[in-house]
Amino acid sequence: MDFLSSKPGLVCIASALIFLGVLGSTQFVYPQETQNRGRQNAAPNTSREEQKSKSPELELLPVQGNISMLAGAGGNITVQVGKDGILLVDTGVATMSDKVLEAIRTLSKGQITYIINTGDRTDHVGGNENFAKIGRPLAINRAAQASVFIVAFSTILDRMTDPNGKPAVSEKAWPNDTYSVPQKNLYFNGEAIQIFHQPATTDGNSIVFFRRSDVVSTGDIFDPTEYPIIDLKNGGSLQGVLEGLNRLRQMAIPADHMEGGTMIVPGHGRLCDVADLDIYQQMVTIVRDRLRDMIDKGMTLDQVKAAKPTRDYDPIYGSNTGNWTTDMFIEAAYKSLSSKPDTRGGRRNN
Amino acid sequence: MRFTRIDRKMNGVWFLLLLLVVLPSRPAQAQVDLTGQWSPRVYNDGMDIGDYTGIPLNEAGRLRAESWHPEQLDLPENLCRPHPIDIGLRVSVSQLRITTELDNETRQPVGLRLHVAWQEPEQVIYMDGRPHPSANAPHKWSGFSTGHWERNTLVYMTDHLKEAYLTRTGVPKSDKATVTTRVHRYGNILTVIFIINDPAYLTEPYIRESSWVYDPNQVIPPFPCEITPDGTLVPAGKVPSFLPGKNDILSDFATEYGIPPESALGGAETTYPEYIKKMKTMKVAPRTTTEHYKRTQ
Repeated sequence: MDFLSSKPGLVCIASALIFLGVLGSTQFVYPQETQNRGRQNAAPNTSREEQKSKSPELELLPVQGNISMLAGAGGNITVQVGKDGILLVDTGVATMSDKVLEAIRTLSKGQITYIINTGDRTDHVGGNENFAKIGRPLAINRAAQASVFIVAFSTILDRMTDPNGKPAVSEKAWPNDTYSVPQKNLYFNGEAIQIFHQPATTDGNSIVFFRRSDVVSTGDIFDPTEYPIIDLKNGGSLQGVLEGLNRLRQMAIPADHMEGGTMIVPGHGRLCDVADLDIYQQMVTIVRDRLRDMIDKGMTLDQVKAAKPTRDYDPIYGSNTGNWTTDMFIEAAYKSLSSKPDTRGGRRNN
Repeated sequence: MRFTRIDRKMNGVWFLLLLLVVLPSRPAQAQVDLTGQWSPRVYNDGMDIGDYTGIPLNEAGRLRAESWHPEQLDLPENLCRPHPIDIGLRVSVSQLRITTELDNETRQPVGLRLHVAWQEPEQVIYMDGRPHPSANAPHKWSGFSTGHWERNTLVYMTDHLKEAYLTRTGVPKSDKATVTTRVHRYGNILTVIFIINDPAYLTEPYIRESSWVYDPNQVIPPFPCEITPDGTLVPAGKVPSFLPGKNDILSDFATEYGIPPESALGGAETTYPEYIKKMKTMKVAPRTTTEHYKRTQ
């Protein structure tokens, strides 16, 4: 009688196989359910995203062509890299410059050659000085004192050099390649780049269009995280923002079924496409029409605020705290529309 | 003789034990095959302006819906805009095709792909355990979905959705919304249940379902769409909308169907069966036929 035929042998083998069977039934029959239970017990995805958005960590997202978007350093930063070097649209806040540079170095070890400022808010120009120190203009690479080209509309330089401006901005951070015409063109990294002056949130906004990559950097003209910031003292207006949004819509072309195509790096928030821009433009237009109607009826600012004309959009764009509250937007928009009775564009609403 | 009995017994034991080992270890990748062509059962809800019944809308969502103007459908940016898949599967009454999604490089299955005929929205449901994209990633009409099996029901969660509508008449759904979908196949019938959470415009989850019939001979034609130039149908720069309190066709739905006007405004209370009792105690305007030309198509 061999071992396999013996009674103890049978018991041993049977026990082993039953053990294997039970193990198999738990490991193989229900692996998905086991995983599922794990997933159900895990924190919901939205919580993960909230945690991520609150984190000071930077995120580098490839956009298309040779363009990437850096989020998490204040305003969004657009990064174009190639054989000629590195071009940045905006530089975020100063305190994040080291991390921004670290992220850029994963794309390219080249020199930062161009910075284009879309506006003068510190969350867009804060890193200018830090990057100016390490960058070099392409044509004079050997010149030790040469600084990176910082391109902006001329009024941005006016603001940053204003002796009454607070806080004072170091000279190193000033734009040194300003323009005061409707459009400035560059050719860098094998790509045509158009910089358009578009007065909107101030009188000095710029839109940057990367033609080969088919990407537009909008600065604060398009900020899907909040109502448009209208800086009345510096030439901003609600109508200007709308004209800027309409111009962006003409430049950007959606792909099939209104998704993708021209990609848009907004001033803040997630990477967008034309459909996202359309949704924001519709909101601003509808809010403008409501405010106009109230102004035409002779309502005061307090009455308009009390009527809460943006209450259906507040869950998405509104805020009661922070640097730009819903009340501040309504006040700026009201004053903007009240002060310029002859600048109304488009047709009246129903 | 004894040895023969033992051998027979052994064969039986071996067989049973083999079953114990082999049967449980069968692949558990797809409990039910959902792939194929599916024909919709017809739904026509969400067609009337002012019909928010059964939708747990909050005040902001209601004002947004009341401001919606049917001419918005003529805006160039809306002509080729697909419904998000949770609406596309419910209100567009359109054919559905489900295929296996393969990894581009390995050609291994990573999930399922849903394709709907009208405006061709597509949704990929990843089943390979990949994480959802970051908050900075683009949102899409059909969002980003990851799924798993709960027994024979496919359950998947969708986020990264673009702002869209819950109905064809302007009830909004924000880009903060997430949708949990449960798909179950009963023979040749497919049921799809959507559980929509929207912190911006809903006070409670909005739940709805749709049904489909297996139709292997169904052919889904392509749906090309070309955007007309800006200003062709609606003057450029204009966005048609009703000013707050100025929507003159809002009450038509309640009047025509003979229901209390406040019931038509929706809200969480209207989603529960008990509300039917309450409705019977509410005042109803005399039922009349209204101008349905203003109903959206």
